[in-house]
Amino acid sequence: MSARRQGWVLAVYTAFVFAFLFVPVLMVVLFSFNKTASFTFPFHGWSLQWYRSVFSSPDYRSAIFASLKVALLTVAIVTVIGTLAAIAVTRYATRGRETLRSILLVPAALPGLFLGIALLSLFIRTKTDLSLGTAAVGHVIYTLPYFFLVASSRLLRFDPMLEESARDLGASSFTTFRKVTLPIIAPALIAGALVVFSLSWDEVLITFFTIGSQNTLPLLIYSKVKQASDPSINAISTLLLTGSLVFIVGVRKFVADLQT
Amino acid sequence: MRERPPGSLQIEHVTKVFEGAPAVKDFNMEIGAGEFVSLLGPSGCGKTTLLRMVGGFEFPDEGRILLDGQDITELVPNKRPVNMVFQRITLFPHLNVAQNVGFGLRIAHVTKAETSKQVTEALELVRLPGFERREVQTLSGGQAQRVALARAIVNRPRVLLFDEPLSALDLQIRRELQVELKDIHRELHGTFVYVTHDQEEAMSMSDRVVVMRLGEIEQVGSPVELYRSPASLFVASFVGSSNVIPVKALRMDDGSIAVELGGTVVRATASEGVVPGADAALVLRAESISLEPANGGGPSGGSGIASLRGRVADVRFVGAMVHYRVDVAGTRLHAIQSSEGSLLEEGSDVDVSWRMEEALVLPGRGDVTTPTPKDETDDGSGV
Repeated sequence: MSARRQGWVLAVYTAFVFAFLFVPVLMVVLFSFNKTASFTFPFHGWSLQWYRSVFSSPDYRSAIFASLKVALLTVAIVTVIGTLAAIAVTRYATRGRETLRSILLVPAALPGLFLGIALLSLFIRTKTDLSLGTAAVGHVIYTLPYFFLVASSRLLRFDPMLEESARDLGASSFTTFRKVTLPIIAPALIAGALVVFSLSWDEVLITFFTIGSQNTLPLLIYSKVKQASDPSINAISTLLLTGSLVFIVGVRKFVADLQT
Repeated sequence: MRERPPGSLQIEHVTKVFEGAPAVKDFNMEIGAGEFVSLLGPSGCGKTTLLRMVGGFEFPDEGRILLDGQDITELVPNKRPVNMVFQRITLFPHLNVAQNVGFGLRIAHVTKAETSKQVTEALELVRLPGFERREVQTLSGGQAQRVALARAIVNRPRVLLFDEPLSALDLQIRRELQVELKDIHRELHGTFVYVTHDQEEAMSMSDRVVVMRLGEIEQVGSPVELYRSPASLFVASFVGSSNVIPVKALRMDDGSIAVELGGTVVRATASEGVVPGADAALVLRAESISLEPANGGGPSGGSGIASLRGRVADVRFVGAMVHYRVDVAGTRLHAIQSSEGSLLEEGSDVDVSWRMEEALVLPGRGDVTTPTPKDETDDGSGV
């Protein structure tokens, strides 16, 4: 095969892969602007009606708020617990550090189904009412390992002599943490928090078992897909996609900060 | 920067054990206010551990540390009126130069205006005027350590501690900073305790040098004392560039001793503990040896001068000085001569001589030269 032909074949292959990856995405975006309720070609013309129906629907609104509440609560809890855990494991656990690390990372490896069922049976046994709070508990367990990984890898690169310097200059251990350690590791913690937010935002399995009667956004979309073909899910999906893109750009900025 | 508190330090029988192995053993010493004292020794000799105990980063297992009579042994670092310049660059990366230097003052609730005034003064003292707004990432290694020094002295500590602060720098910048550090010491009249493994650094800056080995004091003295009368072979081989040659001590008469050096008997100055018949080593400084082109009549020494015939094995010209290696009496000596006049040639015969009082005989086996850290741990495990 000539070099030119080889290049041509590779180009076609690459185009095919990209088409496979992105055509479904583009279809969703395209049909979110469709005039009629059809999901298939022919395309009948442009309209914003599905977006209007998303914004006017109380279901969507309450689901978005529920998702936000769960995600923000999860982020708040995980950031505090995860930072403390990372400091404890990287600084103070001289013996058994690897064991502790492994144990902390286990929940990420557990099947979501298993975690969901385990939590549900726990809540039933302790007679805890299912709510956004119990869903957040599930999300905390599931996202903590990811945050811990980001935070502890930053702390492992942190020179403890910076803290000794601060102590030497008169700072108490708390002041040292507040004025030296925290500001230096903050970009990593923010990056970890963003990861946690995005994991929590579209988590389905654990949420399904632990949330009770309320709906988060992914659960609502799932139920709508099951019930009937409601084209508004194209619109909400497109909105989520846009949100994710903005989000990724934000995360990349922090990740870039991390590497300096 | 006047009205400085005295800053005298008493280290009383301090011992520190790490995982069963003593890092510092019964260290006992007093450091006077305003003194510049260096702790010198190979890595693993306990000098850094001792410094860190004074700084409050380690706590002794036994003994006490007193600062101006007050017991600070158990005090946490932030409660001690001492400051440290670390070996690595430990400037806070999220703060600029002025914020780094002013860190201690802000912690101590000094007003902003006063802090910025003192920061400016401190930066002038370390020869970095106008660096306030610079980001620390833009500093060279030498500049960063100057800022670290400013960050320490701005708090007017009673004792300034240095943990090999120049060891990561280029030789030239290092020599430059050594001179400046001595000037700064003179300006501040402060007590400086300086840890280093570089004997030239210790000798050139300090009032007194503490040579440490295996966690213990080997010898304390002024640089001149250490150089002229080393108390042990270890000190002799660590300080200056010495030839340490195993010899046989023959007989002794009032302070002078006859030793056999490769079949020739020479006289030398005996130090304490030398016993005729026992192992001994002749310590001969490279710069005390004088080399002359051999004349026909054979070596002829006057009274008090040892003279031997040798052959030049190697010549190294380094500018003001020439380094020779000379084979003489079955051993190879390192000799340093001024490079003025004509140089000796490789392979030529020379008369090798030295004054009797420049040659020191110490007890011990002379085949132990400057111990490496590996030797240290080998020795340590046997203790």
